[in-house]
Order: sequence, then structure tokens, then C-alpha cells
Amino acid sequence: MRFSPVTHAALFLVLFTLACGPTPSTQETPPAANEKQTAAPAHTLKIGMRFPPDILNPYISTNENGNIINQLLFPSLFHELPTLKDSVPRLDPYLVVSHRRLETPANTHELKLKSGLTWSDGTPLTAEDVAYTLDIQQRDDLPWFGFTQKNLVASYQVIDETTIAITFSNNSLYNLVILNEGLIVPKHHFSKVPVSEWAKHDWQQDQVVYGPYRVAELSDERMTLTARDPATPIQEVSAVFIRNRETLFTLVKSGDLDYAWNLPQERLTDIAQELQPLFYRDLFVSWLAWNPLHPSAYAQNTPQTREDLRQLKKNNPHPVLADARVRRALTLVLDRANYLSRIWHNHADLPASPWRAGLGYLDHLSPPDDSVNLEQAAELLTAAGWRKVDDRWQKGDQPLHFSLLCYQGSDLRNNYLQLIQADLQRFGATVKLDVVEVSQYVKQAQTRAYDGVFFTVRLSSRPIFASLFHGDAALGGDNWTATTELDAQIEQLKVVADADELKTLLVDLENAYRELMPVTILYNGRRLAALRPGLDIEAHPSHLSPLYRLETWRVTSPTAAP
Amino acid sequence: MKRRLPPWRPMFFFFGRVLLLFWMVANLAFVCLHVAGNNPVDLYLDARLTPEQRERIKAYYGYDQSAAVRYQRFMGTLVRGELGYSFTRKKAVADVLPKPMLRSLALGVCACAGAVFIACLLLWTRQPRAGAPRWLQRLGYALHQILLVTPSFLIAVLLLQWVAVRWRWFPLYGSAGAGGVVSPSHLVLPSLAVALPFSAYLVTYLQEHLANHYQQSWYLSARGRGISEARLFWNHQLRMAVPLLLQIIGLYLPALCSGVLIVENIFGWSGMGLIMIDAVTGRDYPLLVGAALWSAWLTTLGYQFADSQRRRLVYTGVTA
Repeated sequence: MRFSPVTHAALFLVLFTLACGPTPSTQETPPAANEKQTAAPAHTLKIGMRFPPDILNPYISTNENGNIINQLLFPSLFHELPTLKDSVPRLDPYLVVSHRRLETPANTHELKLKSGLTWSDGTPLTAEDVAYTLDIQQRDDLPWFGFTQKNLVASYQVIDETTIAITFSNNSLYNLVILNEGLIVPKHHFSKVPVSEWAKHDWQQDQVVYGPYRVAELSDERMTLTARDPATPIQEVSAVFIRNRETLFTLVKSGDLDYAWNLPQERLTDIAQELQPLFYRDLFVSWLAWNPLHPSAYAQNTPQTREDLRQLKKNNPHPVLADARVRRALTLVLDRANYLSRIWHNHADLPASPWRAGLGYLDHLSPPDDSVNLEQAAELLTAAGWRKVDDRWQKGDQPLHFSLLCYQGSDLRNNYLQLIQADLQRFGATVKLDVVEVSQYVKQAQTRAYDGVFFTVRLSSRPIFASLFHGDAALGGDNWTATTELDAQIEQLKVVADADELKTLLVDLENAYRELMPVTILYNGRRLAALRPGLDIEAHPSHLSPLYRLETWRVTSPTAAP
Repeated sequence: MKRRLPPWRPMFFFFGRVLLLFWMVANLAFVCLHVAGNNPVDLYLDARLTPEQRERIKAYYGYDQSAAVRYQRFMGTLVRGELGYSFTRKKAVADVLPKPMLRSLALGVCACAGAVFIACLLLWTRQPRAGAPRWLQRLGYALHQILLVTPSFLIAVLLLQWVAVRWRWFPLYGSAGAGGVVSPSHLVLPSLAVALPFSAYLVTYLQEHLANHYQQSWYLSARGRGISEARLFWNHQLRMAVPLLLQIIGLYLPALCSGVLIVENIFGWSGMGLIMIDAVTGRDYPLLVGAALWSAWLTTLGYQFADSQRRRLVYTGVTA
């Protein structure tokens, strides 16, 4: 058969024309006859998630969707609101209807639960369940990752069915907020299974929940949640698990899904134009963490104490990045506002310090100027002993050269790194990008075998950040920055009892941080969820959950619900 | 006089080889993951985890032990017929795998069947003496070339956009409606996405084989008796090609039934492809070993089947 370009061209033309056909049908168009659809119950919300929840037990679950769904099944003591009041996240009554601080013992709060609360099997929800949950949270053998301070609760006493007094180990503004991290579980149900068997137990089969929802169906492709209260506006949530972000976007655009998060960030502009975007503040911050140690030093002489670490930094400093002036200079070179504009289309923020990311502990102060300042950067480098020779900075024989470590899997990160590399190279520093597989990244980061590392972390709504900067965490291998100069100030944050004292501390901490510059913040991205076109719904995603307070979401347009 | 082998011997050796293969696959999977480093807990990149919490989680799931101890435990469970516990799924591996296996098997088998059907049609159009009209021959040629160069993921995306989203002829995602595991309407698009490129490969393999028939005596004799070209193609030539076709399917079917990752990803089809990628990226040893054993089992069966077709191919004069 001879090659026939005409036939090939004709076929391509037909295929191309089909591809450029009319826009996809929306939810208003009736589905095809062979797509059997029965009339859905009123106010059913169809959502798309990438992964199913791993287990319906909040103290075993380790995936994000597991936490999101468990929050809809099990109650917390309070509703934490995504805003601050006197530098503390606001707590509204939920299980706890009132609380007061007792004179004695010191640091004791008495919590009063609502009366008449019941679990889904009719068993009363009492203070015993709260006490049981506190015991669970304190266990050493339970792989629960919450509760940043394990010894937060010194003791408790159940006073009556609806009253419990909890004594905290210190006096901190954030005691109740941290306490609220753990979801309350039914003692009569959870205690039937030994903790060592929790991971293997089928928690879906014999659910005992409080609500506002319960899981009616859960398989590896779909999930249905039904509301426990008939007055809840959204009575049913039908979730499908679609791994591919582009497919999620397509399904929301076509109207087959009502709501999704984890959409492709690279399609920000399309999502903003074609769907109803819901940008919500999130506590994910990305930064470049600088290694003050020589990359091989930590693995060769792993320090056992904070003093060992100080000595290591003194004896094996990083040839380029040990000096805070160099770190500040590099920060001044990066045009981070430009990165936000080009990559995030300004749907992200550039906080001046970690304490301005997300909840704005220092909103009362004008932020410092973070714009590019090449002259100041040059002055800092000169003061640190660097000289510019043939457009390249060097100190003796040492060029201003370092590598940036990152892990694969995100175009957004890759774009950031390339812009950073370009800015630094224009200034006269040479940067090598090490984009590696995630396990290699973890290995190198834990052994401090890097110069600079791209790091993303989800901050807590508490300004403590103990696992980020704390010297102990550095010794344990989890502190990316290996810095200890801020430790003492961070320790004070844990025990601050006064909002004014907190603000003063945070101002000092921010100044110390900006002087030391252990990390250069790149962005505090806003998370993006989206509703399908035409759906009129009051949705409240927040950093606490993309389905935050789902029971209060209201469908406001009568034509919106399928 | 030649001694007759007892009937159980071939079966014994067959299963012995299979068990040996399983053992080698399981060891290889374990070694590869160990060399790759880390475990599911270490890869859980939440900086709020303190070192103590991380160690506690590791201890709970047994990842705090040395590789030797883990290997011993792992082999012990395997010998007992258990596949262990999946950290990423929070279930026994034996509970995680059955439905994805069934889905991948259904997808693989349907894709194969679809590919054979499409390949037969394409072969008919590609053979100059099979009785197809001229315009259809040109179309078939063009289509074959396009399918050869178009990857399955691109076809999947196009099918999703046109057939599912625009025309709504088939469901957009998933493998079944509520309560089911696999439904026929959900199978169509993913199977087509896999079948179309595969059919092009089948045509490439088979067309040379069919072209040899035209000079053979049985063909010339049948033509001399007045049997039409189309009838000769459909009733005789294709039948002669069946052993070769079955051998090729025997070699490819295991790969299809082990999971077609990209197509599964696009259509939200929870098959073995996604399981494998989750297991590797999450360093979930037990899940990966379970998935690898499934793949090894299918491959063994497929190759045995392909091997059994060898005699038929010798008989038909295809191979020596």
C-alpha cells in the first residue's frame, strides 16, 4: 500500500474538527439515555477527592483525606474558627458549652459539656468519653501524630457526666487550642478493640459517630456521607476518588462534580475563569532553608547535644552559607514578588516571617520591606569578605556557588527553582539545581547533605513551630535549618500567657529571624477549591479543612442542587 | 521401552517453578525497596511530627526494626500465606488487592478482546487481497499508522473529552456504579484506550504472516475453486493466524492485567496499576510484594499459554 498523504490529512482534519467541537454539556443538559441516573436526593453535594480516607479512626489515620473525613464523623470539644482573637485562634462552643478557669489547682480549666448529647447508637456522650480520649492521646504506643506537646495535660478529673476539669502542665494562651486538636471518640466502642489491633479493625462496618455526618458507603472508588440531622442543608455528600488532577478539573467544569480541591495549580488561570474559585488561606509555607554546616559535617559527626551542634557549626561551617550576611544578601537578590505574580498570578502571599503566614500574628505591624535590593545585597556580601571578580562573586578561591535540593513532582516547584537560579546567576552567584526522588531528598535532608533545600511545611495555627527551629528537633534529624539561636525565644512562646507579651515576643523573634535568616520564605500559597459553574452555595473551606463546617454550607439557589 | 512419566511429575515441576519464581520476585521486590531507602513513615513529610512521634509510629508498624528482622518477619508471613499489612491503605494486603485485581483483569481481558476485534478489521483493510473496497483500504492504512504512533494515554484523554464529557455516551470515571466492582458501560472507554494502540501492534505482527498465504497451494486452490477473497480471509486466513495471535496475547495479556497505570489514572479506574505506584512511592513493602506476586502469577500463566501455542505454530509451519 502506498503512502497516501491525502487520506492521512483528511483523517487528521476530521479528528481535529471533532476536537474543536462545541463546549461540553453542563449539568443543565440532560444526560444521555444510557447514563442511568435516578433523581438524586435534595441537596446532594458531589465532590471529587484524589485519595480515599485511609481509616475511620482519627488516631490511626495518617493521610490528609482521612483527617478531613474523620473531622466530619467525630466531634472536637470546640469549633476552632480560622481567625484570631487576641492572638489566639477563636474557639466557639460545640461539645463544650462553657468553660471557666479555676483558681486551684493552677492552670486548670473546667469544661462543661452540653447535656443530652448522644452517639449514633444512642449511647450518651459524656465526660467519660473526653477522659478516655485524653488517655488515648497520651499513650506512648499509639502512632498519633497530633498534639504537639505530649505532656500538655498534667491530669484531669471527671466531676460529673457533663463536667471535666483538666489541669495543664503550663500556663499558655494556647492550651485549649492544642487540646482541641484531638477528636473525641466513644469510649464504649473504641475500648472494645485493643489499641494494638486498631490498625487492623474495620471501623467502617460498625461505626459509632457523633456527626454531623456518617459514612454510608466507602469503597476504593467512591464514598457516601449522610447527615445525621435532617435539618442539615446538605443531606448527602457523594465523593468519588479521581487521582488525576486534570480529570478532576474536567469533571467540575462539565458539572459532573460540584466541588473539588487539589486541582492542578498550573491551571490557576483556567480555574479562575471557568469555575467558581474559592481561594482560602492555608498554612502551607514554602521556603529555602540554608545549611549553616558543611554538607558532610553532620553525617560524619552527628551531634548528640545542643552544645555538640554549636561546636560542629563553629568547626565545620558551610563555606558559603554559614554567614548570616550572605543569607540575607541572597534573600535580597530574589525577586519573590515577581515569582508570585508569574507563577501564582498573585494568588499567594509573601509573608515577612513565618509568624505572618496564614493567621497574621503580627498584622498590627507594617511588614518589613522585602523588595529586591541588589545594592544592599552587594554591601552585605562585601562586608562578609566577598569580592566581585569578572561578574562573579568570590572569597579568595571560593566562588559564590551552592546547590539547591528539591524533590520531583511539581511543575510549580521547578518553575520557582529556575527563576531563583536565574536571579542569582544574574547577580553573580552560581546555583546548581538538585531535583531528586523524594526518598533521596529525605535522606539528604536528614543528614544535612545539602547547601540549600526547598522545603514546604504546613504550619500550625499556633506560633510555636517547635518542630521547625527547635534545637532538639535539629538533633533528631527533623530540623531542616539546624539552627539553635532562636530556640530560647521559641521556648518562651510555649509558656506565654498574655496576648501583649506574645506580641512583644513575636516582634523580637521576627527581628532575630530576619537578622539570622535561617530560611528565605518563598510563598504562603493559598489553597484553591472550586465549585462548578452555576452552583450557588455558601461554602467555607479553610486551612482547617476544605470541608470545614460542611454542615453549615447552604445551597442558596433552588436550581443549583441536582 | 521408554518409561512413562507419572502424571503428577509435570504438574509438580510446573508448580515448583512457579513457587521458585514467586520467591525470587518477593525477594527482588524487598531488596529493591530496601535499596531505594526509607519507609512509609519517613516519607510522611509532616514537619509537625516530632522525632518521638515519628519513632512511635515506626514502632507501631514495625518499621523501627532492622532490614534483617523485617525480612525475616516478611518471609514468615509469606510462608503462612499472609501478605502482611498495608501502611498506606491501613488494611491487610489480602483485603486491599482482590477488587483491583478483578478490575485489572476485566480491563485487560476486554482490552485484549477489543484489540483482537479491531485488529481483524484493520487486517482486512490492510490486506490487498482480502476483498475490502479500495477506499476502506486507504482508510485502514491511515488509521493503522495513526494508532501505531498514538500512545494510549492520549487516546484516553481524547475519549474522555469527546465521548464521555461532550457526548455523554459512557460514564466519565470509575469502574462501576454504587455497590458493584466492574460494570460493562464503565469498561468501554478504558478498554478502548488500551485496545486501540494494541490492535495496531497486532496488525503489525500479523500482516506479514498473512501475506505469506497468497503463494501457498491451499490458497491458490481455493481461489481456483471460486471462493471469494473476503471469504478466504475471514474463514481461512484468520483461522490460520489464531495460534500466532494467541501466542502474542499470551505474552501481552499479563502486562495488561497487571495494571495500565496511565489509563487507570485518567479514568479513575482503581486497578493494579495505581496500587503499584502507590506502593512504590509510599514504600509500602507488603503491598508492593502482593502486587508483584500477582503480576508474576499472571506472567507465568501467560507465558505457559503462549508456550503451549508453539506446537500449533510448528504444525502450521510458522516456526521450526
